[in-house]
Amino acid sequence: MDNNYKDTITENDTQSPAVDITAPDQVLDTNPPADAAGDTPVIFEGVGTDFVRDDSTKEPEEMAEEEEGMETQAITEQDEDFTPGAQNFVSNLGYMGKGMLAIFVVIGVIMAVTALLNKVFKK
Amino acid sequence: MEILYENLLLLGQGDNWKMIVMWAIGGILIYLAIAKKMEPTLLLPMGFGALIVNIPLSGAIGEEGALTTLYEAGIANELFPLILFIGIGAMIDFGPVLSNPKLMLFGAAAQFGIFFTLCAASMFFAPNDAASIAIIGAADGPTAIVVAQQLGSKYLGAIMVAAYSYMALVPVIQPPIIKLCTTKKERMIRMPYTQKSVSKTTRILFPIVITIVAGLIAPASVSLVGFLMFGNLIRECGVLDSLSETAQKVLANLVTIFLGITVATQMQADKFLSLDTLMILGLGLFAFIFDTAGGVFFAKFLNLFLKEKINPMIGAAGISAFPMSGRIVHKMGQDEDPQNFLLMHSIGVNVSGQIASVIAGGLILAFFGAK
Repeated sequence: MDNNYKDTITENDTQSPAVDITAPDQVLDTNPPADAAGDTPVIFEGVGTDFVRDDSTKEPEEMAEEEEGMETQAITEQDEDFTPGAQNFVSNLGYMGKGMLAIFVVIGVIMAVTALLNKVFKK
Repeated sequence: MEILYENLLLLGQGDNWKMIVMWAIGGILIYLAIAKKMEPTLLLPMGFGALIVNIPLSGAIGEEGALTTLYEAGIANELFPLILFIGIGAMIDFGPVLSNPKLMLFGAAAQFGIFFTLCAASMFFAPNDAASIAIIGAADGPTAIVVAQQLGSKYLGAIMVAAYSYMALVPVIQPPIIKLCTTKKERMIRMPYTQKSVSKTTRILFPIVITIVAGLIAPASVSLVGFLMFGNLIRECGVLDSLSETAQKVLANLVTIFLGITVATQMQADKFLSLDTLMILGLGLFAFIFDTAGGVFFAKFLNLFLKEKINPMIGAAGISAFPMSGRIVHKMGQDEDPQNFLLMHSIGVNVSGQIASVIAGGLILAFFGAK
């Protein structure tokens, strides 16, 4: 447990009147007793906000693995949501229309730009 | 000897017999590459890679395996295919399409197979996998890898095998489809070619402008279009001859070696040997067929309005299998009429297909959300 929390307690704090902030050696133990598993959640009081600090520090590799797991989970969830069938053909026809239209639009713009370049920089 | 015996026993356990099937598939790819000269630059490394990754307890894969390291370094982050695109861009001469920009329309039309296959594949596969399978129709290996990787498809190995195999089989796939979609009279339409020169300034500005235009309209395509056009700019600028030569030869060959053998990490027996793989191979063929048909029918549609008719076969050259498709169309034209020279038109369409396929890849990423 980190005992430096007392640095955050100000003189104006009134939520823990029993705390003598002028006694630097005083150790404030506001933690609840350990639970059945023997883990003691660290809870800070007296700073206006109750919050729980997670004492476990994670290595970057562990965090990266967690993120990868979440991505895999997202893709797996997409697969789980998927229902095969002919209805998907019809529902994706919109993509076909949009895709072909978009390609022709882009190519049309490129054609126009090319024609302009040819005209401006005629040999 | 004991280790050999144990490993042989391993092959007989559980599903490990599938590894032997993958040896056969690897062998077939190597045979096609060497004996039939079908896309040897990729089929041979892929075939050999398929052997390496399908040996029990192979040290090439796994957490610290060499192929795993290469995969993380170049395929998982799409780096290898993008670097390869620099080399491809340096090899392409956009002159034929710059002198006749209208040919680009056929390049666009020939991407129809991608989107039609998307609809078909969506009946069997989840959206991200269906989109990744559909991009086989781009007939462009790097585009297929980038799209499949960014969409998180689990079928990268099968998609790669399908894409490169069908690119090599274009001389077998396209002619029957073209003949089915056209009449003899249409195949004999002559298209006179008048050479128009293109200024060096146009050649230099083209890749720059295209990158900006395509990037503004389809931002997801910037990496694909940008690397391709960067390679082309190196070629056309005229002051980087050594870099251009390096990009076309050394860089392209080096990356191709790594790409081919590394993609094989996705060809492990448990991932590759499934009904899904067969379906992917079937859908890939479907994509190529409808690419060809899409280009041809677009040309036939235009002929309804044009006084000077277009030979509809050139529409088929709009797929990105450069320069094979262009040459096939020219040869088919010559078979019907020896005096018919379609090469410059078909190569122009073929080159524009390269641009259109990359844009199609960007659009697929835009629709299905790259990760």
